[in-house]
Amino acid sequence: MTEVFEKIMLYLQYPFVRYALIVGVLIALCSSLLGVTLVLKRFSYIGDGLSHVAFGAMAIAAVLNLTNDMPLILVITISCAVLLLRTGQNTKIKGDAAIAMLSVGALAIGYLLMNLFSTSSNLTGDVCSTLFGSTSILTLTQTEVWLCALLSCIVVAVFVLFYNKIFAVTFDESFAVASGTNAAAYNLLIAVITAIIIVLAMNLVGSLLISALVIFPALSSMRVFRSFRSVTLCSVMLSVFCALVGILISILAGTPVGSTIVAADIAAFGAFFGIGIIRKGVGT
Amino acid sequence: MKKLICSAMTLVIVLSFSACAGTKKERSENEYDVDLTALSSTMVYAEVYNMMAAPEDYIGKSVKMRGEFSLYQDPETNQLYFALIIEDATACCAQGLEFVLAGDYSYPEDYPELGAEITVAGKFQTYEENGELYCHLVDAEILQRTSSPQKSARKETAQPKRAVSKGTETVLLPPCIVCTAILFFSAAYNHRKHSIRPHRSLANSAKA
Repeated sequence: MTEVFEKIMLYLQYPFVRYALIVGVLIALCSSLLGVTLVLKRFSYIGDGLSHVAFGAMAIAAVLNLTNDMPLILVITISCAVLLLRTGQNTKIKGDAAIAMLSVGALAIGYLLMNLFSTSSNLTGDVCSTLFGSTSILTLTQTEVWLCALLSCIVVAVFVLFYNKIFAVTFDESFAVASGTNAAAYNLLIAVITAIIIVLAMNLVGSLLISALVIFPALSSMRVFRSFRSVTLCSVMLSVFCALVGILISILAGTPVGSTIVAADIAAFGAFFGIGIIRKGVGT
Repeated sequence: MKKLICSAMTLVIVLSFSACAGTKKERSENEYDVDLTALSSTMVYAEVYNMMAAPEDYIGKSVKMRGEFSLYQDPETNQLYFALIIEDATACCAQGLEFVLAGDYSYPEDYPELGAEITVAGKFQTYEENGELYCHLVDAEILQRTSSPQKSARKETAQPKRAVSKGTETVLLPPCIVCTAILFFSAAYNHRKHSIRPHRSLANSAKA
């Protein structure tokens, strides 16, 4: 155990490890906050769809040889998020079909563009790293860390300031509309915040695993807690803990970072599920 | 509620930024400024990536690294470039770092066989060639060379490098089985709980 602790102390002396831990904690915090809302509103799949759109946007940025690709990815992902939520009930293509179309289309076009206009010497590695987040969190620059921190603060601030409205729109949208709340605007806000979190989380766990980061902490907390407040708080702490543990295990054991974090989330879900069953058994 | 959330968020953010604090001290206790042989594969890949991305932070530092020996010959100048290839945890991404041995060496007599795992130590420097900036280790020395008896077998089968050591796999396997079992039984329990079954009295009256 002392050896492991000493190794962690050694690794913490590397700036990129500290950056990874900072950004990892912030991303886990933001994604878990919104995860509860998305799971309750049955919008989990939007996160998955938007992550594929972000991959396509990243491919465009790579083809254009942009030094900092985050602004372009943010703009495209937010636009698609707005587009998906503005489709409404009277459109010819319904919500889930629209998500599927956008998601698969962006993934295919992104990979096609990267193959046709490749500027990298290791295309497969870049694609693999972007999709699964094997080491991208460990290769952040200081500018990217500051940008992630700024965006995370914005997300947390929005959630804190609009907590009551988000709560109302999540649980009873019809009542919220009847009581004068502009539900459409808050749904749009949730979509924009989701897009921001997706773009940030791509660095941590990759495009394909982002949904796990959003969904698992919320689902785990719901096995044990009942109120919105306690589920949200538990989800935040669980997500941050799993992200920290996942990053530390991956750098100690040499495993891919994204998959290790998701594995930690799955283990936590299993544990909470067991606790939920035991509590129910004891209660009855 | 807002105060509670604000306090919790502030605590988490402050804790995360506290990782920035601390004085910079020697990274390793041995004679090398950057000892990549003491790090895991994920860390090695990330460190080499950062060396390539921000070489100015590493110029003049002594570096020790282990990887696969590789060779590149420029088709125009016939110049030979020797490098170490390092792969990340999933073995899909690889970084290479060129090295120049100190003294007079000739290829192939004084160099290991291609694909052999070797440990090299040298001083990190950059140089310009044809308007491009490159990184390499100068005054390098091959500390250890391991001939790869499995190299021919590996070439035939082309198996990806295993990122997780056997010991770690053995430790991770039981929790994975337990988690899978929990998920399976919980799914079965949920299915049984939510399936509609008539009450015993109703079932008996239906039989009658």
